[in-house]
Parts: sequence; structure tokens; C-alpha cells
Amino acid sequence: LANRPSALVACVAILSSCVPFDLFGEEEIVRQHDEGAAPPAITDDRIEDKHPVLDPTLTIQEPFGSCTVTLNKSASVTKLDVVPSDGGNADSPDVERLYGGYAAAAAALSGRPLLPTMEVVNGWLKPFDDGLYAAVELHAQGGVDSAIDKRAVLRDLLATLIERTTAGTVVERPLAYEAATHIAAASKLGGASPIAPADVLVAADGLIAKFDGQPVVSRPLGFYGWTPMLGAIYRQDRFLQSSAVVPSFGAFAATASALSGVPDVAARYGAVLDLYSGLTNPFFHRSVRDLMPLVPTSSALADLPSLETAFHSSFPTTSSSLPPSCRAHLAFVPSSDDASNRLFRGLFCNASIPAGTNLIDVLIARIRSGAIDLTPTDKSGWSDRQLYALETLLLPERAPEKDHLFLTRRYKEKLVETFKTILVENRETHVKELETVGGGSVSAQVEPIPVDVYPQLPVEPFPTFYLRTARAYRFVETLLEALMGPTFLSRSRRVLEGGGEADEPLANELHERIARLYGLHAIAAASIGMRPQLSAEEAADYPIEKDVATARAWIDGWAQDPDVRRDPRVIVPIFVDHDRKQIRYWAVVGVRAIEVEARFYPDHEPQVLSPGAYCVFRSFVSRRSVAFIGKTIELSLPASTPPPTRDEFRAICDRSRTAADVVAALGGT
Amino acid sequence: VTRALVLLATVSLGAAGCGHALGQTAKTEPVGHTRMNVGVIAVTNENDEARHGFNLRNVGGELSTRVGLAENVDVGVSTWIIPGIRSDLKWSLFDRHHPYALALRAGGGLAAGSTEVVMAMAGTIASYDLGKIATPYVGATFANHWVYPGRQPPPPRGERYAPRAGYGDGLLQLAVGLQLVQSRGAVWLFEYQYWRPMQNDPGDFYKFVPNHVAFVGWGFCLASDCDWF
Repeated sequence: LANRPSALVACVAILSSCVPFDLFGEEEIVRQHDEGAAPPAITDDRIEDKHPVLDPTLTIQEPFGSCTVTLNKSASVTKLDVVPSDGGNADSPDVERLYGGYAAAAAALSGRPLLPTMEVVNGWLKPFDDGLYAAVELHAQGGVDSAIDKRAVLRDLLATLIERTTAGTVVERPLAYEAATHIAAASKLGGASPIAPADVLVAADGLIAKFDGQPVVSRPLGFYGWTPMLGAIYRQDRFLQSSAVVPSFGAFAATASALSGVPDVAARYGAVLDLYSGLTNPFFHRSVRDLMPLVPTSSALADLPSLETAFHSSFPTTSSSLPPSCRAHLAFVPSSDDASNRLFRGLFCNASIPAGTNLIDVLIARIRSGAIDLTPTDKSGWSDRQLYALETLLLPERAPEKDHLFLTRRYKEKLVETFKTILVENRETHVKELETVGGGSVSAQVEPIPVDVYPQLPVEPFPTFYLRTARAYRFVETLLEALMGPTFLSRSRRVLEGGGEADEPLANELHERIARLYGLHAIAAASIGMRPQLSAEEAADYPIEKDVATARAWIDGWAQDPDVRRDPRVIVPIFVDHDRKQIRYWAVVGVRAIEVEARFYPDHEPQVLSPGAYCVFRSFVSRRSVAFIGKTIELSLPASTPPPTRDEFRAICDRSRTAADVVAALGGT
Repeated sequence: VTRALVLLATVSLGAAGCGHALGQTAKTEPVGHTRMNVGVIAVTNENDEARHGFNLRNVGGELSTRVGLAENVDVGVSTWIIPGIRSDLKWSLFDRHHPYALALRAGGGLAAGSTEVVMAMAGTIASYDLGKIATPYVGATFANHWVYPGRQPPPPRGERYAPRAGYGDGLLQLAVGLQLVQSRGAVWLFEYQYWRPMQNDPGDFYKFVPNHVAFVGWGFCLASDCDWF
């Protein structure tokens, strides 16, 4: 070897290499979270955690007075803060004053720079959500331009059950009779005139009287108070949720048996379940569809105790060993579940709510601590997807924009308020289905114009919120096309508060909302130095330049948008506190104005590539603008008090000066 | 020749080497004798496909040396990972003039790159001389690794990384090999190992996967003739 230098070198070369240690295994990151862990304290962001990456190609032109400045913000960090209230300063907005709506607040503070907040965007979306849901309800009830016809499903199911009351086995007949009385009662509540023997209809009237004795369940809330028909649908479907007037297990079993014999009706009934499972959320409680595999024929009804045992075995959450308020029950059309219901059921179904506990704060703490993961699954409905869009307000450090935004403690507290407001508004849309648990021209000047640059925020800069909200609407679009039929969206119009209909078909309005939200996403992203995060499919379906133009037009005139001008004040029941014989409510009692300050974080300013013609860059400065946020409260009312409708609640708000006055006027605590 | 080989050893030891091969029979080196192995290993496992298939990263050099310390006791030193060192002490239970041999060995390793690794191992080797030509051998070693990766980014808010359990990542290394005599001064070594993960510390950001390790090497003695049998 000594005589062969080349061989020596080769040996050294081989020996100098080594299989790296990481090749023998893989990186494994095991994360844990504690269900009971307290959420981290809300603190200012740390600049050392911000790592924006310079993208030399990402430039933006923004007007500052008569100058059009070309900036590269990709490596910048924008600091957002809420200016502390200064009652002695006439320029500061009165943070205690409650306005009846965003447009009213904007009018009162006209002349000040206004930042359209996410609350404002949701204020624009909320009437659409209500109107869309109302349109679906009306069309699905009567089968007009809809593949779903709930009234026909009830009619045909009732006819089948009545037939079984005479043609069924001895065991089956009384069970089918009981089920028929319930379906007849639901049909009557829904405004139909069911065809049934007189005794069935009389028995149904008795059930309706019992149902009406429970206004917490039976009184139409939210947009369901807009028209008599919507109110009827609310009462029909609340009745079918089988929580106020509970049929026997045998009656459900007889219904399952009857449906097993009429596959067409069973399929149409299944479509109704799928509609609400998607349009709101999947169910915690079980439907008759879950029972059908156990009751293929009426002979299975002969041994009801064994059948019930088999059902409980198949669905352990229905076990009678669980406390009643923790237990899933059977329903003709179950109510939907969501993250807050799951949490409250888990925490309080078998225990009293500790005194002083605020449920919305419990929910927020669990989301912030990581104990609740809001990421939607394939089975998630619209409500879960709306909640996912809000997650980014509580966990902004997880959003793609985290490196571009420096949020102060005060601004994060504002985001928590934003979460509350939008959560309550969204929840109220799903009130029936979600269970109550327990530049200018070029200047001719020769002297260059000095220009001060500040963060221009056309809209509150949380692009993830807008993107996730757009995606939630796309889910609804796909869902409705699949379940209501391909022509439903193009032939239907949303219902307006007051009972009228929108000018545009739902398809157009839905497309417009999605496009505008994509546009708001792109504008918000660009304002903090990010590219839009749209997938290739989204970008192909919704060309971003067009979306941005649509969104800019809306931003310029948001205060005149008829939907933004609608009253945002709502109230919705959340939880039945059996121990105290009270019902917890969440409410949005009005709109407040706060002052927001935006500045580029020192040493993380954007690159000023060009100050524009006849202009010279002078400095980076901060910018204050007025932002509107909702004011939410949580209150308890006696269980004996009928839940207030929107109109009743708003009238009380109009007569009250503060949130405390509203609670007192409602008789709550 | 000796100077050249010493140079080779010195350069290579200073440069690199993996130290993953067993590369020895159950017999120890005679007192005062020094033996060196050079060779190549190849590693394959379930993650190859995700790493763009079997490639040059799966292949590395091997360099080790053993010195006879006492009757039936020798010590081995090799480079290990990069940069690191591994050493083991072997005690042969039978007189070396028997064709059969059984040895116990124990040792450890230390590597200090971007990821620091401390290793402790214990095992056994059995071998049998077939005439003066070949010696098949089998080995079983339990090697435990305490892995200390570089600084990790903070976990997402509301979460924490699993705490280090302390017991490390254990591997059972099963080896089968053949030593073939080339001359009085040199042997060829052919070896296959299967590494089976036995325990995994959830808090060290690393997890072994099952590995197949092949080794082809050339052994030779320094300063004196070898006594292979």
C-alpha cells in the first residue's frame, strides 16, 4: 500500500465519509398538552420570534398624500397596538359608548381614519349567512328548487307509520301509533295539515301543547323570527330534535322498522340528516338512521329490551349508565354538536358550573391552551369551519402572518373580543340546530415633497381569517349543490330580515362573498408584506386580481353596505344550568369604538424602493385609526323566562345605556 | 509499509469513519499485537425512499484498530459517527487455541456534532475456526444511545415537548459475519447486521428505525505477523 499513493488516497477518501447518524432513524417530535393546563398569559409578542424573509420581488405601491411610494414590506414587521383610552382627550373615541351598529358608529366618527375590522367584515357576512340559511330552510321545507323536501318526507313517513298501526304486528302497532303522533305533531308545527286518523291528530295536539310549554325550546329565535314560515320550521325541527317531548325507544324502533320497508323515504330522510350535519355540524345525539341496521324488519321489535341493549352497545354514548345530561339520546332529526357544546358537556354535564364561571372565557382558555383543536375534519360542518376561521384570533402565533405582525397585549385582548363577537353572531345563525347544552395627480412642484411612511392597513391585517372564512363558504357551496340539487343556488335567493328576498340569486351572492373574502385576504396579506396563500385551485377558480378589485371597492364604501348597516345585536342561549334553574346566554349588545395604532417595528421597517415622483422619503411614522369592535356579554336568565327574540332584545338594548343596563332590563344576572 | 499504514490510520482517524461494523471474531488479539480494519459499510432502511432512494449517504468508511492487552483481553478503538470515538473491551472466555470462541464485550461511544450522542453497549460474540481459512462469527449487542439534538424551536403555544424519559434509545444489533484469511498478514471480512430498536425516548427528538447494515472490510496487522487463529 505504501508503494501505491493513489490507493492510499482512495482509502483515506472512503474512510473520510460516514453514514450520518440521522440516516439510522428519523426526527421525532413528541408534543404534549395538558387538558387542564391554564392558557399562557396574554403578553406582547417578542421581536426575536419574528423572522420575516425578504422577497426582493414582492413590491407594493401605496399612496401617501400626493406621493406614490414603492415599498417592499416582505421583511417588515408591523406593530399593532390599541391606544389606551384617554377620556380627557377630545380626539380619543369614547370606548364606553355603545353604538347600535357599525354604520352608526362610522357615521358618528366620520372624518377619522377608519380601519375596517374583522367585526365589520363579519357584520357584512352575518345577514348573508342568516339569509342563506333561511333560504335553505324555506326551500328544503317545501321542496321548491330543492332535492330535499322535508314536508314530503314527514308526510310519507307519517303515511307509512299509520299503515303500520293497522297492518303491523301486534307489538308494532302501538309503537307505530306513538311514532305517528310525533310525526303528525311535527308536521302540524311545520304548517302542514297532516292526513291521519282523528285520534292521531288529537294526540298530536296534546304533544304540541306539551312542546309549547317549554318556550326555551319551542320559541323561534334568530332569523327564524323573520317570517311565520321560518318560525314554523323552527318549531317543527326543534320538535323533531326530540328533547322537549321525548318519544319512547319503541316509537323510534318502529320508525326505523317502517323506514327499512320504504327505501325511498329512508333515503330522503337521510338527505335531511346530511343537510343539517353539513350546514351546521354533525350530531352528538343519534338519529333513527343509526337504529335502522338493528331493525331491518318489524320482527326485531318483538324483543325491545334486547334491541335497546344492542343499540346502547353500538352507541356507548347513549348508555343509560351515563348521567342524563351527558348522554346522547335518539331523535328523529338530532341537533348538531360543536366544540363549545363538547367542552361544556364534558365539563359540566355531571357537575355544577362553579360560581363566577364565564363559559365563553372557559372556551377561549381551552382553545388558547391547546386543549381544543379546532382544525376541521372531513366530517365537519359549516359551523366548525367558521369556528376554525376564528381560531387564528386566539392563536395568532400559528398563522402564516405571524412573522409580519407584532401584536401587543392590548391588541391581543382586542382579538379575544373579536372572537367573542363573531362567535356569538355565528352561533346565532345556527341557533336552531346547535343544541343549548345542559393617489392624486402628479404634482408640478419643483421642491420634492417629504413623505412619511406608515403601515397602510386597508383592512384589519389577519389574512388567515379571511381565507378560512372563504373556504368555509366554499364548503357550503359544495354541500348545497350536492344535497339541495344543482339548480338550488341559481334559482334561490336569500331571505332578508323583514321577510323580503335579495335581488341576486344565492349562487351569485355566494360567489361574490367568496371572491371578496379572497380579495380581502390578498389585500390584508399585501399590507403586511405577504403573498396570498390561495391554493392553485382557488386561484384558478377565483382570479385574484379581480377579487382584489372587488374587495377594494367594498372597503371604500363598507359603511354604506346594506348588510353592514343591519343591526348586529343578537342573543343566543348556550347552556341550561339545571342546578340554578337558569339558562346562560351569550349576547352582542352593541358596537364600541377603539383607537388602533399601527407602526413598523424599529429595525424591521420595509424597504423604500421609490418615494414616487417629486417626493422624498422622510421617516417612518405611526398611524392611528378608529376600529369598531363588538361588545359581548354572558348573562343568566331564569329558565322560566322565555328566551328573548331579536326584536325584544334590540328594543331593550335601545333603551339601555350600558351593557349592565341591558342585563338588568332583561332580568338577568 | 508500517509508516504508511500508521499514516493512513492517523489521517483516517483524524478525518472520519463510522464505527458501526462489528468487524471481529470472538478471539482477542495476542498481547502486544495491533490489528486494523478498513472497509466500507452500507445502510438501508424504510426511510430510503423518502430520502431519494439508496444513495451515497447510505455508504461510509470504516476504520478501527484493536490492541491485545492481556491474555484473552483486547481493546478496540474506532472513529464513530463524525466527529466521535467508540471503544470496546473484549474478554474471550476460552483459550485461543480452541477453534471455538465466545467473548463478552462492553464499551461506549461519544460523538459531538450538531447532535451530540452518548452510547453505552454490551454484547457477546461467538465464532468457530474452520481450519486455517475461515472463521464465521455471530454477535449480539445492545447499544443504548442518549441523543442530545441542537436547540429546538419553541413548541406551539399551548403545547410542550415531551420531557426526556432518560432511558435513551436502545438498539439490539444482531450480526453474522465471515472472516476469510488472505495471507498471514491480511484477512477479508464480510458482515451483515440487523438493528432492531428496543426502546425510544420520546423527549430526545430522535427515533431509530430498523436498519440493515452490510460491511466489507480488510484487516491487517501492524508491526508483526498476525495470529488469526
